[in-house]
Amino acid sequence: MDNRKEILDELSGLSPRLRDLKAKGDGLTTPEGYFEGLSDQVWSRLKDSPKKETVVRPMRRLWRLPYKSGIAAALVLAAAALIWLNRPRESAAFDLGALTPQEAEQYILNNIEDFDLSMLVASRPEEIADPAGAGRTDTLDSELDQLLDEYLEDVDDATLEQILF
Amino acid sequence: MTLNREISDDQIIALLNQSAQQEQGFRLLMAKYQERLYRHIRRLVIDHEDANDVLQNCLIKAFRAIDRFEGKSGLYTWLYRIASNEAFTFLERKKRKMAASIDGEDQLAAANRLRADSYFNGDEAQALLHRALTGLPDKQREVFTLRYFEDMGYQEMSDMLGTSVGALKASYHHAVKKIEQFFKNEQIR
Repeated sequence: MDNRKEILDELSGLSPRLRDLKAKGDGLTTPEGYFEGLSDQVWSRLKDSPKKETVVRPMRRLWRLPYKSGIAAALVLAAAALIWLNRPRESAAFDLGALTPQEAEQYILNNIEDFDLSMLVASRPEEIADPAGAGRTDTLDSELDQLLDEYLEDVDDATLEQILF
Repeated sequence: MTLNREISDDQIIALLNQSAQQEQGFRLLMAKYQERLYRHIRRLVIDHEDANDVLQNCLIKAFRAIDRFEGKSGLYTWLYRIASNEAFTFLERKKRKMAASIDGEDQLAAANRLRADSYFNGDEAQALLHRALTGLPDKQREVFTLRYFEDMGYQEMSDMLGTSVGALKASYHHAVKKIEQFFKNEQIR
């Protein structure tokens, strides 16, 4: 009963129309004697339709034998992919510092598809972090630009198209 | 009948779990809860025949799943959840059949159902309220129905639906505002 009073008070603020309408109820009625015969109806339906087999839960079903080999194969593939992706690679930062200009040019030409200019610049973080060495970064930028220009002048259209697309 | 309603949930469950006494347990369960479940379902699906189908399916499902009832919630709460699921699934299927995914069409269909239902003796305002309810999202509709028609407190509702009191209050207020707006729009027409 307390709930009812609380609900009516709440409705007074929110919607006086609904507060007034509440007293009328929902207007829904049931056929006379409906509930008296209902349990017989439902019970006869229950007797007529046998209980279904318990459904195996999807996760359990996955562990059945035919699926096990598939799951195992998928796990092996996933592990192999992880190992391949994390394989040791040449570090651009280390190698560039040790290269002669000729070797660097060759390196860039060989790896132009894998690295862009910003990555190559980022591979020399000590120069970016040190303002005094900013000139060296500019030098590297200009050298790289020059190398790229030379490469672009020499490269034929077909190769360029292959690199770009 | 009064005796049946005074029987405890534990006694009903104990009977249902003994194969020789299942029928007695089931009939006691129905005697205790069928009317309350029916009213809940009826307010969601509106039409009596639909409510009858949904209620019967709900009771059959409950009977077949009684061995999975763990007693973590009350028996009525468990039955109520089955009933709600059945009712909303039924409405969704019906909506798809009628290809009426637009709210306005739903409300029109509901209005027609109500006019055709000989087990509705409400006036125009009550019919309008049912039409407004059919346009609400399921959760808001359920929360509104429990509070407005069944006078349920937020805490009880929270225990039953597993939703926080704050979220329930927000849902209810939202629903009331939408219904109020629906009434205003209908008056303008």
